[in-house]
Amino acid sequence: MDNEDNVLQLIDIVKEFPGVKALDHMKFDLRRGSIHALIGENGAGKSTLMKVLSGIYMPDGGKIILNGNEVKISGPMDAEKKGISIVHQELSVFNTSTVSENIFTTNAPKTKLGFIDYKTMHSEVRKLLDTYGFEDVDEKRTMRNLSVGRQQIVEILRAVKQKAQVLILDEPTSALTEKETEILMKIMRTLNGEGVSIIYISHRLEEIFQICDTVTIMRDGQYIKTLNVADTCKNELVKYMVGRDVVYQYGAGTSEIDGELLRVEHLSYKNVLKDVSFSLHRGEVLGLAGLEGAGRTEVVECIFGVHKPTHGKLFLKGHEITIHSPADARRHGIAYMTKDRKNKGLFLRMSVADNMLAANVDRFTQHGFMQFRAARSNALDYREKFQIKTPDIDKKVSQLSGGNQQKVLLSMWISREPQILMIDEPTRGIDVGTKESIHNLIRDFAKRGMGVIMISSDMPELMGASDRILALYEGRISGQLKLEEITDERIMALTSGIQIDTKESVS
Amino acid sequence: MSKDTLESARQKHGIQTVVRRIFEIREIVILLLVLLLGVFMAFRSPQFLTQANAKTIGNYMANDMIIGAFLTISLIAGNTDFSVGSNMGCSGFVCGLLLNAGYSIPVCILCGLLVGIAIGALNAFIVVNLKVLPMIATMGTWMAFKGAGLMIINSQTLSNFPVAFKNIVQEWNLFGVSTLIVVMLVVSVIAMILLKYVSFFHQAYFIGSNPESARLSGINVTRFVYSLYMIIGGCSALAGILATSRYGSAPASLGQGVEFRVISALLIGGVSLNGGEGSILGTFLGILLMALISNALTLFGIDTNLQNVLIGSIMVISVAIDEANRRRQK
Repeated sequence: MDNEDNVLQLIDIVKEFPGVKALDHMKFDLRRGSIHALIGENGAGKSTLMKVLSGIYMPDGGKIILNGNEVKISGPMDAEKKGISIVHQELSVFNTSTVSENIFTTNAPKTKLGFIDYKTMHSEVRKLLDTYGFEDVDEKRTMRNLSVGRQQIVEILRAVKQKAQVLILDEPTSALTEKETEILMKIMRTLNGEGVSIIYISHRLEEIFQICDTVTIMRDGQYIKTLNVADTCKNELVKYMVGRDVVYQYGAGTSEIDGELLRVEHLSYKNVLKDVSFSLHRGEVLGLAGLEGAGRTEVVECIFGVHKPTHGKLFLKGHEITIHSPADARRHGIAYMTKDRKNKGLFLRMSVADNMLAANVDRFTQHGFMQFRAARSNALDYREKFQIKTPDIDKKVSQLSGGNQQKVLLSMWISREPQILMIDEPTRGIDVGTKESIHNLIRDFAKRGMGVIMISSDMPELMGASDRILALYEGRISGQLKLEEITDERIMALTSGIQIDTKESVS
Repeated sequence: MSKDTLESARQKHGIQTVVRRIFEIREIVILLLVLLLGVFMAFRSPQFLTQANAKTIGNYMANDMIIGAFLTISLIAGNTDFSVGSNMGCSGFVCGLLLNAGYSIPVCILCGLLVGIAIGALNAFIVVNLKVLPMIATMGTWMAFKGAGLMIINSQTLSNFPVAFKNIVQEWNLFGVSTLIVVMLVVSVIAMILLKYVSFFHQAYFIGSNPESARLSGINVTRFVYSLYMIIGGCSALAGILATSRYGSAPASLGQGVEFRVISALLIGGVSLNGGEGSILGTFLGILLMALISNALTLFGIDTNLQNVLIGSIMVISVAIDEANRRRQK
């Protein structure tokens, strides 16, 4: 491909974070006037690449070539000046300001006296909204009164207003309704017609076939392949996204599975979960697969009483139970560990021993009085059993490594001997060695008859540890894979909303 | 390089480090201040070390400590309460009005206490169910009940209470120790035992350290918050009723300004408004220090308004020292 055709070229981009190579000699060419999709699994490095491109991260190596010249991008402002605009996955709007103010932000038009010229500002925004088919959005409305989808559109219009030559959309449709998505597609086509080149990141493969001309697949921070959309199909894309050689053995299929422990029937929650039904058995590690936003966390949080489901029933060993709060769930022998260890699990300012005590205050109580000695010896026991690396259980838990912190939380719950353990991203941010020992512990719990629900975005982990996998797609269960049916391609297909026939191979 | 050199430096200056560590414990710092002031006073004022003066100091402390003990536990769990002063007033007025209407003393006291507990329950309802920040919720009830209290007494001082009621504080004593001081000691010791050894109250540290983690580890935060606000309400009412008995009247100013004085004392004693930190002993010492300063100024005949200047300064300085220590530890 001739250089003249490319508005943007990324060559050998390297970005390392402590312990991980987020981008490993990644390359990417954006043709002038193209709508180019970038796809890959959770954590493949898509967002990191875009953050490098928009100046939020500094690359550790490699070159960025814009219009044939090598450039250094020093920050988001600099990126905008160079004509690169980005709309992030997470909304970054000013909630209490108006639509107009959000579109102009710091570049508001001024009157001769140097005051903000609201009249011009509003009329320009009105024009912009009308051009793109948003006659019903009032430019003077406060941002927070708009739906999330509308806010997303306003953010996109802000990027449009910058007259960018390269527009990056990082999963813009995850919060949009179908109609809003259609409008977004229209905006993209209009912009494209005006000569703007677009990088489009999405988990929804069908959108890529609707709007994009080129697609690049990345995996584990590396470039895999670039294809013409017209020459490929969904299954081929799925194949490139997965296709890894390392498979970990975390003990899937090694424990004895019998009687039903928990049954969930027709669980719905707002518009996040739709009619989710499944059951969990004694001795089973059930993997919940799904993309970011598919509703995995909400499923377990509805069971644990964090959210109040709009509809649905829970059965524990065949008896219906109602759970209104985590305290109720705990009483029924259910334990839950969030993916946000630091903010929603640990007590960072407290000691290791105190952290292990948190969920067990009732257990170490006799006639209302705390049994500190019993609690301490329990903490010492678990330090030994789980090999938690701390010389002193009075040390603040914040001084431990991520893996050891996770083990502290595990000790806290396991010393209650729950019947069901629900664990969200059990090894996120944890090194490989500790990862294995955590999975050994989880498998041990299963062998002792506990039922485990594990959510993970880490495909090898999910495959190596689950006895059965439930796939979620946009709040619905899109499929179930038994142990012998589990392959990375099938998981990928189900979590991308592609129907598969497990009797045959996907491709 | 730095790790080894740091280690050897630490060994060399071992004593300095130990001293610094000790000074990081708030209770010790405040205790030293109290002792310093005490010794100074003992030398400079002949009245200071008399039994009568000890009683004065004790009575001065009692009101604040009766309220401050459980407020400490609530603040450790991260929930402040600014309504305690207005609560004191309201409960005292209700008790006084009923006395004047001729009801029996136990009934009047009980009704006063129930008013206090009800105000506490309302605070908890606003915080837990309406999800209003504790600071805002209780500032609202502080203001509302200040007004309501003055309305029910028509801004007039209540007096002419039965002698038997006045005697509760003015005459009763236990081995020569006044009712106020006995109640203060009982409330403090109970709070201390509950916080340290009783599971339900010990959970305050978890709730204050990270409310979200506490909830997700199955701690019943709602029940805790309701219980604490209601106990504080009851204690505030008790303080109001005892003050009414002590003065033999319920002036319109009953309880006014108490909330800020108590919370300042708590902050001096090492309670953090962010939750997770504090002790009953610290609170006791903080209130004792305030009582001593007030006593000293009175004995020397210095303008007592200076008290507020000193207390305000000590509060800001002690919190600033805490913050500095915290930054250094990181």
